[in-house]
Amino acid sequence: MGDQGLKLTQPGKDIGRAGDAELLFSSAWPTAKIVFNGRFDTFASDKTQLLQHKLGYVPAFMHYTIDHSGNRHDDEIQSFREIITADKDWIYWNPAGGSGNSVALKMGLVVFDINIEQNFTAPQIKFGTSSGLVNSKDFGLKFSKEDKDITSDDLRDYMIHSAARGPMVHQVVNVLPNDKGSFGTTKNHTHTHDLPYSPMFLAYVQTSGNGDEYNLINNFAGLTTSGKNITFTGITSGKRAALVILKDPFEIDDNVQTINS
Amino acid sequence: MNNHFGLKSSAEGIEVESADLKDLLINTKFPLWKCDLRATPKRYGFLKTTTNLAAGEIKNIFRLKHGLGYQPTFLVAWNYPAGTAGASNQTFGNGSLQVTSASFETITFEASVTEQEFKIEASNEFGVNAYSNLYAEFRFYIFNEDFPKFPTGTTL
Repeated sequence: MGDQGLKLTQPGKDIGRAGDAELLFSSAWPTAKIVFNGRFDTFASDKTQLLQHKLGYVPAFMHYTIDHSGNRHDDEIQSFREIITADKDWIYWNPAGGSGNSVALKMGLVVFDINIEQNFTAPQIKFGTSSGLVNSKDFGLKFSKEDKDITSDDLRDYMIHSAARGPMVHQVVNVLPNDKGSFGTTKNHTHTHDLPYSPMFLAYVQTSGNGDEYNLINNFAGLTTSGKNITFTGITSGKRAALVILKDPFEIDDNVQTINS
Repeated sequence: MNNHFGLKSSAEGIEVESADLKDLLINTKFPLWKCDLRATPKRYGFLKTTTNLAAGEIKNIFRLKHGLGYQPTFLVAWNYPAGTAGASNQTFGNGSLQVTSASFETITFEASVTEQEFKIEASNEFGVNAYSNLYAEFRFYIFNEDFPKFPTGTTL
């Protein structure tokens, strides 16, 4: 990025010296914009179409499990465990092998305006540290949603608000590491990022039996980090993997808590 | 949305008037995922946790009253360093963290939200052995966006 564009720092940060992780947004790279946020409460069996996003590309998404067991966690929204997949048209609930019987389905979903099949790398402006935010009440930028009051105190009423931070996209990497492998073989793939910190990221992979659909992986498929390397293990032949790497350091020096229990 | 209302900025080299949505880097058609930086207590942070769990034990290792009055969206990333007691399938991930002990028992760290709080629970619910010094790091964001109800098959 040269000397043209728009950027806004986090409160208290110097616009001339702020690292890219200290910005609220910049016109040099995309910020995670929400296409959909919501929950589904229904009964379903086997694969179920949850949302027709109509984006024409496979979007990044996050999903959440909503406990419906009636125990101490009933109706809590939990970090995800269920299998959700996405293609260019739909988001699906996609349990491995199908449930067979009608089951209570409660799922939270957030879909982003990020194409995980379009490679992208953002520039890096400067490197700073994310710490010591200052609450500045009389400075900022806000853009309300249509039909919402610009004086609203509810951040849900805004498209952009400079008192709020959201994930910014540094890189989208989509790979086909095993295109020549024979059917059923697997291969590992390592991506080396160029950020000066270990970033937060989302990882997606196509799996056998789900066609071109991607699922957000966690725990259930191999993914390791070492230094600047992010390694997928066991990508099946003919299947793709994608990373959405954020301009968000995993380790920050703001609100750090050491907990022993 | 009114066609004449909004803010947009295209990627360098792309004409903003004719750009597709996918080529817009700033675009007020869709809201940003927003974490309120003014909130007290802070709705983001980095946790370094060391946990001991007895057989069958479940406990909350972190609790935060978010003050929103509804269940908010959130993002949790975790790091379970190689060499820590037990093993995870991966050293980094999002969502729930599952650790498998040498005895093949599963210990989980689960983040969740209610209308009042964000919490992380450690569980050795089905284990018959005790575990100590389970070290995990968590990076979290609690956003203002919530989870309105929709029917399955919703079309945008």
